[in-house]
Amino acid sequence: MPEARDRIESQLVELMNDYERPIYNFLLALLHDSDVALDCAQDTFLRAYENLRKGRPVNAAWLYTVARNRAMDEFRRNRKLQTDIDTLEQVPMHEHPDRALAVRAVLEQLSPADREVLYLFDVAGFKTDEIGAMLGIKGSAIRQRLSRARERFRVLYGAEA
Amino acid sequence: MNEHDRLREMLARRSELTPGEETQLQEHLAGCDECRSLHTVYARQAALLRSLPAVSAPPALRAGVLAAIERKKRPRRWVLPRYLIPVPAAAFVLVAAVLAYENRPQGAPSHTALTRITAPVLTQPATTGVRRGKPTAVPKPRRTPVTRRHHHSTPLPSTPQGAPPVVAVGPSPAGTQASQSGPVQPPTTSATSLPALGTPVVIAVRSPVTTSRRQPPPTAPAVSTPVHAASTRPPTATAVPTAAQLGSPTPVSASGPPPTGTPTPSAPQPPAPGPSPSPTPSPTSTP
Repeated sequence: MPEARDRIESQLVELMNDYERPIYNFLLALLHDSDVALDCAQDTFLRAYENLRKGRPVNAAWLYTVARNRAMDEFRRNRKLQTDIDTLEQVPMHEHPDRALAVRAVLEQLSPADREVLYLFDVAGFKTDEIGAMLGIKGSAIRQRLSRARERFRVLYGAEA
Repeated sequence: MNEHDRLREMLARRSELTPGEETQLQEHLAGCDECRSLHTVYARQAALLRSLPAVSAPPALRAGVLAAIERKKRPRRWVLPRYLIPVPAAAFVLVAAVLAYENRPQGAPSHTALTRITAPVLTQPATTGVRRGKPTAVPKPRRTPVTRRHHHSTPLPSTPQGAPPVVAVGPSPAGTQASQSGPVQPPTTSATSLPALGTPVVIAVRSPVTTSRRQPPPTAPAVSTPVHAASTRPPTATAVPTAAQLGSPTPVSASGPPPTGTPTPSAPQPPAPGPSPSPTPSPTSTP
């Protein structure tokens, strides 16, 4: 029994090594609140641990799905999820700091549905059918949503620029 | 959805197009300037999103997860609600009381045994009551002090009210207990206060019985013989004190050596105050 528990913990640590940062950034992009994103990420990995204990597999899609649902719960609770200035300040400045801030500002203005589709497709690298499976909707609906989100992003980014 | 809209949707997800879809899109882009410019915008947009600097996850994330797992691994402590604390306390007291009762010294009679003693004694003359007591409930030797007390308590009617109890001077617990029945105890024994043999004893029975429950089992049952002598029954094989013996304190004290090592109500006592005619030790005193 202790060996199985250690094995599950080692699996969880491997998952966290691979997805701790992406999941946290995904939640940060969705929620724009570092504290709430931290809570959601912790819940995500704790649920992953419980899933592993039950002998069920946990992969990236599962983690993003749980994280996304957890973020949607936060939205449903009408929590005040506004841009966290500290979150923006902790973004490391690279060679184009203004552009990165502009992109984040545009993402912030998008709806959570558009935001998550863009993030999952461009940043996380999921296919539209996979995103549809994660969100529980058809891949064709995700493709339409992605097209609309790109168009809105283009408009908003043009105004920011 | 027309062909143009379908191809714009393919532009939005170009990274996942199949080779057939990519070929179809290339053919359309070759003849559509609007879609070509849009293709450039979408490609830059995806590059912008991918180039977003990722924030490092705070250390609290992993620490919190691992700490929560550790908490789950630990067995949950069972905490008794505060309002339930008296329950185990009362149970403990009850169990302790039962154990103490069960492990009480063998010499101490049980409550039921005392009841069996007192019940017949209170309703019958002392001799019959003592005789008819259940042998299983009360050891026979323990009745001897009863009869001894009875023997000396017979002059109760003539006892002055201020007379101190006989056993009040004894240092033993039995003597202390006997002091509770002091008013019915006779004063220090003297020859004048002793009744004659054959006097029925009825009134003084209760006091000796209650006194006897604290008395240790005597070793010599000879003291009971005066009581039998007082009744109409023939004396037993034990020595029957003579009237001369009863007239002096010595016969009772000579009735047998007191139990060694056990406190007796007949311990040496100081002279009893009051109307005791003589400062001699009480009849129950041991030599």
